[in-house]
Parts: sequence; C-alpha cells; structure tokens
Amino acid sequence: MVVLLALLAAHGCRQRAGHEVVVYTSVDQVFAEPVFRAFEERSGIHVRAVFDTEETKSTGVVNRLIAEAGQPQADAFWSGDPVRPFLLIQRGLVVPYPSPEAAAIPAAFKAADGMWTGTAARARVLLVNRDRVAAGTEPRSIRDLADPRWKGRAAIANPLFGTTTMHVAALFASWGDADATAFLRALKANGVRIASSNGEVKRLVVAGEVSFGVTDTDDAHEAVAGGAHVEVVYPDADGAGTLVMPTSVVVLKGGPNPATAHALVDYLLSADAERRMAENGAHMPLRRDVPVPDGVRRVGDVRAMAVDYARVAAAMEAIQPALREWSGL
Amino acid sequence: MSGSRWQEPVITAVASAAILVVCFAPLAALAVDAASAASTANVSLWRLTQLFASTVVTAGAVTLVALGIGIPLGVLLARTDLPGRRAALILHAFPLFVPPFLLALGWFHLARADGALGSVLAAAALFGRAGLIAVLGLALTPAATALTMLGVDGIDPALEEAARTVARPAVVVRRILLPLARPALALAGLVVFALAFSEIGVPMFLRVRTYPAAVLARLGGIAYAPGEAFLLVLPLLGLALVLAIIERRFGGLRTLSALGVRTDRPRWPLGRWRWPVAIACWLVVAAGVAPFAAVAAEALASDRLGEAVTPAIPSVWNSLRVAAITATVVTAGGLVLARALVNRGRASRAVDALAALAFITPAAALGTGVTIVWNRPTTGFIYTAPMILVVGLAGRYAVLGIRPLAAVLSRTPPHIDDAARAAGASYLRRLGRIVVPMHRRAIVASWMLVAVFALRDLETVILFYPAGEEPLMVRIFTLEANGPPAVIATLALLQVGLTALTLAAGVALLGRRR
Amino acid sequence: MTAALELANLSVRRGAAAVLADVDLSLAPGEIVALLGPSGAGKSTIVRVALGLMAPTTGTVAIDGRLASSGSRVLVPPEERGMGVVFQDLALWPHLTVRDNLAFALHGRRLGREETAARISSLLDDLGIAALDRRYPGALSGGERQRVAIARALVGDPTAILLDEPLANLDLVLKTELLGVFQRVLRRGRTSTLYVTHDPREAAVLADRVAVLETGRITHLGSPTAIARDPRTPFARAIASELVSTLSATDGRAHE
Repeated sequence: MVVLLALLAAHGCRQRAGHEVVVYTSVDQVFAEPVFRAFEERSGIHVRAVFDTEETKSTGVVNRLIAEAGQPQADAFWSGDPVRPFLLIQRGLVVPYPSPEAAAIPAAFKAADGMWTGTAARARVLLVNRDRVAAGTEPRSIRDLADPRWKGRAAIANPLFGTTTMHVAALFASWGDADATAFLRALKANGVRIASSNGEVKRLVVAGEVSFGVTDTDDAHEAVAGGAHVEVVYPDADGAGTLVMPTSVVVLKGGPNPATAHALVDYLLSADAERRMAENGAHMPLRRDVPVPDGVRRVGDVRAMAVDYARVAAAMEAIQPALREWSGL
Repeated sequence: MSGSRWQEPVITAVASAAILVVCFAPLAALAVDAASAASTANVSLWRLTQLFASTVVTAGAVTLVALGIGIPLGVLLARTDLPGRRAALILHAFPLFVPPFLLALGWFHLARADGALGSVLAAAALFGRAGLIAVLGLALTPAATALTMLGVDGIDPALEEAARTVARPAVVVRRILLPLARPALALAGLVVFALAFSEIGVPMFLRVRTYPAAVLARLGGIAYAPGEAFLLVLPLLGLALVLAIIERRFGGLRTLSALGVRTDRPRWPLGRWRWPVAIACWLVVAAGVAPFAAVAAEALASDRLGEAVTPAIPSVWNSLRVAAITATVVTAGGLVLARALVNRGRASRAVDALAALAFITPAAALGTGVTIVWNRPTTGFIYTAPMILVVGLAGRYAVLGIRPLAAVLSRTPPHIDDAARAAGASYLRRLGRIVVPMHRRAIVASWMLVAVFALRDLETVILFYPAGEEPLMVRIFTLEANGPPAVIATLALLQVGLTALTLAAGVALLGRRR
Repeated sequence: MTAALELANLSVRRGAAAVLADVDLSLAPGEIVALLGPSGAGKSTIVRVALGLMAPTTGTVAIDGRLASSGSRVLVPPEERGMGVVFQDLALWPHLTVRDNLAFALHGRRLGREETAARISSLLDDLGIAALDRRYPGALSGGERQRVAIARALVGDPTAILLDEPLANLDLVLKTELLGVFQRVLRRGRTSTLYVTHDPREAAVLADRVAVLETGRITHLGSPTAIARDPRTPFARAIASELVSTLSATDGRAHE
C-alpha cells in the first residue's frame, strides 16, 4: 500500500520541466502534429498539445480555454479558423505579440497590433461528385444550395460548429440578416442534408449519396487525392468571392511559458510551417514565397471574399439563437 | 492494542471521503455554478422535452434488443450443452469492453459501398435511428447475457431440480429460473438503459440526435455557459435518480451472485435442437465480432502501420498507466466501502448512492464539474498532471468497485468476520489476512472491470486531459476528424488489443480454482 | 471469586420488541453453564452481546471483573475481550490451513514462533487431529472441522469460551463422539464455558448449571437435576424428562 502511494505521488505530480510550450489547437491533429514535431526538432522545445476532436464532439478547445481562464494552462492557441480567437480576445484572455514573421502575412489576415495573426488557410468550396453531376451543370455559387434544381442533393455541415458556423456568420455579415435568414430557411425547404461535420460531407459526396456539398479545401483535397471522381469548385469566383479562412495564432495571457510561446508563434507563421501545412493538409499559404503542391492554390491566386473577421465573430455570437432554432435545439 | 479501535472508523471515513470527493464534488460544483450564474436559459423547452423523450424511447428500444437477445443466450450458455460455450461467451462478451464508437466505425466499414456487406441499403440503414438501435443493442447485449448467466447460476440447484421433475426445460426456464433471476435481469435492463442513454459517440457518428449529445453540443457550442448546461443536465440527473431508486428496489446488493460460481450441475441436453440453436448463437456472436474484423481488415490493408503506431506509443502508455492506477485506487476504496455497506452503515449507503449517480451522470456534466473543482492554484499540480485523469475516472467508475464487492461480501457468512474479531484480530488485520485472501477472485474481477472501463473511456476524460498526455481513445477520436482511415483503424485495433490484454491478465489471475 | 463472564440486568430491544429482558447470568471460573431454550428465545443474541459484536440496550457485561459493555455502549471491542467462540457454522477460514487458523488466533498474544508452534501442536494432539494440521478446512470431515473449531477457540487461553449450538446439524453418532470431546477438553482444562443449545440432552451431559431462556427471559437457573425436579414453565416441563433420562443414562458421570 505504501509502495502504491509512493508511485501515485511520483507519477501524479507535474514537475515544470523547463523547456516546453503548451499549445491548444483546433487545427486538425493530422496536420498540426507534424508541424509541432518539426518545431521541436529545430528548437529543442518540447510541445505539449491539446487537440480538438471532430468539431461536434468536443467541448471545443476554446471553451476549455475559457473554463481554465482563472488558472491558464496554455501558452498559445492555434485556431483552425480566424474567428474563434475573437471569443478569447473579447474576454481579455489574449496578449498581443507582433511577430517578426508576421511581416510577410497580408494585412487582411492579421491584426495590426499583433493581437492575432493568420497563417495557412482553408477556403469554403463546393465538392462535386462527377458521376452525379454532368459536366457543365456544376453548381458555381453558394446560393446553389437553395436552388430547387439541387433539391435533396446537397449537403452542408451542421452550422452550429466549426467552419460552417463561420461561413454562415460571414453570410450574415455580408448579405445582411434578412437575406441570410431567408437563405437558411430556403436550405431547409430544399432538403439540404445536414451532416455532422465537413468530413461527413466529404464522405457523403464521395459515396454519391449527394451530388455536391459545401466543405473545406482540405477535406476536398483529400477526396481528390483519394482517387474519388470529384471536382473542387471555388464558389462565386466571379461574384462576391470565396470565403477564405486562415488559421490564426494568438498568445494567451498568463500562460506558463511566455518565452517559448513566442518562439512557437514565430515558427507557425514561418514559410516552413506554411509549406508543411500545404503539403500535408492542402492548406493554402498566405505568404507569396511558399511552394504549393498540385491541387492546392495560394490565397493570392483565389478571389477572396472581403471579410472583417471581427465583424464575423460578432455575427457568430449574435446568430446563435437563430442557428439553434434552425437546427433544432 | 487499544490503538486498533480507531482503524475501522478512520479507514472507512477516509475511503468514503475520497469517493465522495471524486464522485460528488464535480456535481456539486456544477450546481453551485448554475446557481450563482444568472443563467438565461435560452432553450426551447418543448424541443428539449421532445428530444429527451425520443432519447428515452431509443434507449428503451436498445434495452429491449439487448434483453431480447441476451436473456435467451444467457440461459442457453448457462444451462445447456451448447457446443463451444466457453469460446462463444468470450467472443460474445468482448465487444462490451470496447468503446461502442469503435464498433460503429467497424459497422461503417462493413456497410459502406465497397465494404463486405456493402450496398446502398446497408449504408442508409446504418445511419439513422434504426441503425443506432441495432449497433448499440448488439454492443450492449453481452451485459444482458452475462448478468442473466450470473442470475441463473445463483439459483439454488435444488429449486431447479424440483421443477425439472414435473416440467420440461422450457417451462422451467419461463416459470422458475427467470422469475427467480429477476433481480439480475432487472439490473441488466438498468445497466443497458443507462449506458445506452448516455452514449454520445455512436449517435453522433450515425447522425442521430440524442439528448446527451445535445447537452454536449451546448457545452461545445459558441457560448460557454456551464450554468445553462447544468440546467440541461438536471433532467438527466433526475433520470439517474429514478434509475437508482428502481435498482435499489429490485434488489441492490442481492442482484449479483458470487463471481466465479461453479456450474458443475448437469446441463440440459438440447437434443435435436442442438445445431440450429448453436448456429443461431454463433450468428449472434459473429454479429458482435464482425466490426472488429472490418476494422482489422482496414488497418492491415495499409502499408503504413508503423507510421500510425509510433507516435501513439505515449498514448498507449498513458492509457494503461491511468487505467491501472484508477482500478487499484477504486478497488481498494471500494473494498472498504463495500464492507461498510454490508454492515449496514447509513453513511456508506449515501456514498454508494452518490457513486451510482456519478456513473449515470453524463460525462459532459461530470467533466465540466471536474474542471471547476480542480483547476485552481492550490490544486493545479493535480489538474495539470495525469493524476486528474485518475480523479475523473475514479469518480465516474467508483461504483464498479463498490457494488460487485458488496454483493460478494454480503454472501459471506458474517461469522467468518466475527470469529476473527473474537480471536483478537484488528480491522486492518482482518482486512488483510481474511477478507482480501478469501475474496481474491472478486477483487481481481472488480479491478479488471474498472480497468477496462477506464481504458474504454472517452467522454469523461476528453474534457480535461492534460496537454500532451492524451489517452489512446482521445487520440483516436481527435484523429478521426481527418486522419486516414487506415491509421484510425490501426489505432482502433491497438485499443482493442490493450483491452484484450487487460482482460487476459485478469483472467489469468482469476484462473486457478483452488 | 470474580466471575469469568457476568451479564447483569441485560436487555436488548429491537424497535418495540424485547429480544432479551433483564437477563442476569454469571459464569464462575471453570464452570460450564448451558444456555437452553427453544429457537427464537434470544440465545444467539446473548452470544453476540457477550462477545461485544452488539451492544445491549441496557445492562452490563463484565469479563473477569472488567466492564466490557454498559448500557448501549461497547467499551471493550470484541478483539480485546479475550474470549473464544465456536459458531454454529464453525466459521473456519477456508483459505488458511488448520495450523494457520489456530496461529491467526494467537497473533495478538505476541508469543515467540516456537511457543506458538508448540501450543498449537499440543492442542491439536489433544484433540486427535495433529495429522491434519496442514490441511484446509474444505478437505476435512464434519467431525474433524468441529475439533479444529474448538481448538481454535481454546488456543488463545481465553477467559471464557462461548459455543453457539455447535452440534446442531450433526447426526447422533457424531454428536455423541463430539460431546465426549467437549467434556474432556472443557472440563479438564477448567475452561469457563457458556454452551448454547436447544437440546436438553447436551445440557444434561455437559453442564454444571443450566439457564433456561424463554422469549428473552431466564426462567430457570440451576443444576440440571434441580430443574428437572421443579419445572415451572411448559418448555421446562417438556425438557424435564429428557434431562432426567440423560442424567440417569450417564449416571451422573458427566460431573466427574
């Protein structure tokens, strides 16, 4: 019994092992982990990470950060979308850090004071099943989701979670409340399938259960790379533009290791990190000097929707009740 | 020797306090949070009630499926000469110890277009309420089978034999065995219902909306409002209380007969029914095991297994370590509390009831409570360490250490302990030299049960696992978002392997009958 | 001379029902007292109270002059009372050998290893079961188990020993054999004994005095002969003939 207690004590307690950094991230683990490993190798700093699960299944890493605000456990937050960090910024949980690497990031995708900085991005695209959609008749715009031509043949992920929330909020911010609400209603009327996640949308399209779906570039790229007979369409290329969602890095206030936090942020914004995200995760680099593999575009080569991410963040909170009603909770 | 008088009350109090802290504190913290926050419950009551009701119905359907298959199977395995009984039981029981989410994953691999059972029909049927009921029903059937077997085995053979002189086996089963085994069957129903109701992974995977999933979604949505989440949790706690009361009424401690009971009574010959029944049984077993095969096939089809496994090794170690420590702590504390329970201590009954409540409470609520309680400056050294996983899991599964041991202890003649007391043995000495050696098998079985549940756990630990110290199930879940299916399948196999290893170790320890 | 065991004014109530009422009983050193009564009379309750497993509602229990229980409080816990007990189901610890069963009872005495071994061996010898010392209770016959049980009760040199219907479930041959064993061992060792039974024949053979317990009260207290001569209750009248016939059959030999 004494031995057991000693074991418990030794194993249970955390010793602050000096050279480490704690990062919470909602970037997909498959992509983020190699980046962290690369950072570890270069810097010798040990990375302890908390990942988000499939968007619907977790408390959300953001909520965990808020829950732990009284006693912060994380140094940095690498968000899979540019909007969620605002939830932390609004609550005063973030400190600005203008990284030297941020110079190469376009102004539209960062805060001037270094509160948040964007890096490797995704875009909201239409993934189209070539077997169920004849050439030349593909959907070209996000509004096609409400087009009766596609009744019951489209899919979108649950707008309560993940990048879909951001997308809907961006529509609210961009089209105005009335138009956006009408659009949501039209989606329902048009029998759009609500999937639990973007990955699910991809599965549905690849399996041929729907003709097309709205998903993220990385999911779409994976479908293509997996050999499925699908096509990626960047919607509204000749209209309002495609919604670009850079991943976003913030430094948390009161984190245990501020110095190493800066080092990690510097790396995440670097060309090397963007290259890895492009190669492993089909993320679109924001920097102009990063090589891209086949099928991946640089943000600079896409018509991007003009977006004020702070406004979108506000819209996200505001539309919560309406969204919940719409999706049934 | 007068110093030994304090042993029993102090040790019992310490064990009870520890169990109270891990089981009750999180719930209390959540309640306090709810009370103090001005929670604007921004929810539609009507919709919620609908969702709650539909989830109750779904869980009920799962229970019916599990009992409908498990009770007959249990009787067949317990009392007939079915060929290959032992193997059937082992294979059949195994899926119970694996997170149902993995089973759903396996069914998906089987049912999708290019899967072994692939057809559009199969895939469509899987994703929906019917599929949920089928998958969960199959996953939880072994609980009904095992409890039925224990219930039937515990019946005095003389009763059965007396009946056999006047009626055929089928009638004996219907009119004598099953009614006498009612406490065990009721417990089976309750366990299956509780597990089915609070299950989150499978409904989410199969795109069925359930109440606990909605609560989790509420916690995981944009606005972090634990107070509001707690309000949503209240009906669940209410349900848990109802289940706990029903369970008490149906027998509480009497529901489990001693583990490892010898069944050397003569078995009923099935005669000409032997092969048809055997085939039916083995079909059920096969249905339970099929998802594993699918997952294994998926994993082995890939040539990058090493890549998947190597980074997961720390997770494997975390899982095993945490499970072992949790099981040890819970079994030790549970033994002390079980003794107090059997001696009818009133306080210990309250602690036991709270432990049961913590088990039935949805993990999301418990996890949030754990964070509130332990993430403070004074207790930070626990919160940021793997210890917090032990704390959280011990709170969730304490009841699995207490109940089985209490059931076994209550079947031990009290004079065994009285004689030891009269012979001058102190509490600790009795515990160490009499209770533990006499009930070695039950203690090992209890340890195994807790360890396997700790290994299998996902929803409890996902909310507060320390950065970089994730258990294997968490890793599987976080990777599932976008990991290659082969990698997920490999890790799933690894998880299954860990479970099998733990069970095998336990069975080996239980093995030798004196 | 201080009584080995003294129960004074003992009452035990369970709820509204009186299980024991005003029981006065004392056991002189070396004396064998039989507690005789029908089922449900409260005999086992007296054993539990005497052992300290249960507290009386009112009244006192004194062991060797020392107050052990008093008015709903157990002052001396069971493990410190130095009493020996043989329960009806014997309660031999199934996972310990015969020798270890006895050794366990000697733990508190802090005797040296040799002395422990010697004491155990001599007692087992005395009871004729020395050859069984490495066996487990499960491998013994009924009669052998009884001997082990009484050995275990005696090995610690107790102030008094309580036997709670030890022969209740045995056949006549075994009963007779074991009664002889009890007689020899208890009488010869001058062990103060409270022998609980519902069988008047056992009481007649073994006891110096008999206490008749009916629905929680002691109705008769005296030598078997005295009770047989003057029974005052229906139960006593019913057993009187048994007492007499047993006494005459053994010809008073029990009290040698």
